[in-house]
Amino acid sequence: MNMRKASPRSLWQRLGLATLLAGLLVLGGCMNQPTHAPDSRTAVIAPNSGTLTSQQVFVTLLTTLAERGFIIERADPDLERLDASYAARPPLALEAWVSEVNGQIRLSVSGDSNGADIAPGRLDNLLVEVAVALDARTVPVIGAP
Amino acid sequence: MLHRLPEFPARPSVADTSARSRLPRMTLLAVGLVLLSGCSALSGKDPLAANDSAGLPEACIFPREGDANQWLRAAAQVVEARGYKIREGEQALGVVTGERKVDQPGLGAIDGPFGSRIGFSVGYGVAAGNDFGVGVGNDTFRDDPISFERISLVAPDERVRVIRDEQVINQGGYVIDARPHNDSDSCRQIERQLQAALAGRDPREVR
Repeated sequence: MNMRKASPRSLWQRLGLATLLAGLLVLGGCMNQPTHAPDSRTAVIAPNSGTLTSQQVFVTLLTTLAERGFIIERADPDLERLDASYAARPPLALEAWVSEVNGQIRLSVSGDSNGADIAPGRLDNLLVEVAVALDARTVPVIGAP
Repeated sequence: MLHRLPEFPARPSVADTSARSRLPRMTLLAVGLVLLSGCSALSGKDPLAANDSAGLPEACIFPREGDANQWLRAAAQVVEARGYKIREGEQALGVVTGERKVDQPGLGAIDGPFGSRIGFSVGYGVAAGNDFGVGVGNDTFRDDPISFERISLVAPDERVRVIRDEQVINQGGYVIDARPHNDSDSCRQIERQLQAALAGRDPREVR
């Protein structure tokens, strides 16, 4: 008897609970947007023969990005850093820099596509193209992505 | 024998109905797949692809004339003559980048999901009596998007690369469209304008 009386109320309660849960989920969805760290790649550009200067690597990086259709937003020859972006949806913004560590020339590229993932291979393509244009090869840096 | 005869068509008809009921489901599935895959095939080329098929057309890469300093001045002149504001210029690398904003009048009028931005609202209110109201709103003329265009001229070596892109942004800041804009005709025009600027003529005169 008691059970039968209680069941309609529990149905309403359950409905209310479900609505509450759904509401919380909807609201929680906005809260949980992940802050995505930009994907980045670093490699040593090692010449197959002879020597290579960091300036050569930087200029080749610049022309490679330009020939792929990137707008060069900023390019600093002293810092050997550049910002480039490509108009698409989502947009693709790259930061790239050349550094010299223990006599080795490192090329780093970091990309952001409005928080969307950039597949690791796509940034590698860029590093490899720069290396090939200079008759060099890419050597991964231990401890760097 | 006569009793058995109707049984023969009965069996295939069972198979028939199941096949018939499967048909709309398959159609639904096919339509669903088409909808889900959407315009993924129509999306732009990947600028980070392994082969640079997404690269510039041939007309957008041409030999540089003059020395680096002369060329940079000519490039800045051309970029300004085309209505861009220069945002970056670097002599050692031969980079000039500019941007401009162009109104897109009329585009706002057709951009809405229902063709135009004329909206209706119908209300029925009960508060100390009944009333009924119809409202017509129009924001067609406030909502023209802006086309935000950029250009880069890059010539650190003996070759010039011309890169252009365009983003169409509505008044709410939403990017309606964003794409590279590297067409061969404008690249040839820019090449002629650079030649004119290097020869001391006004690049605006070049068509």
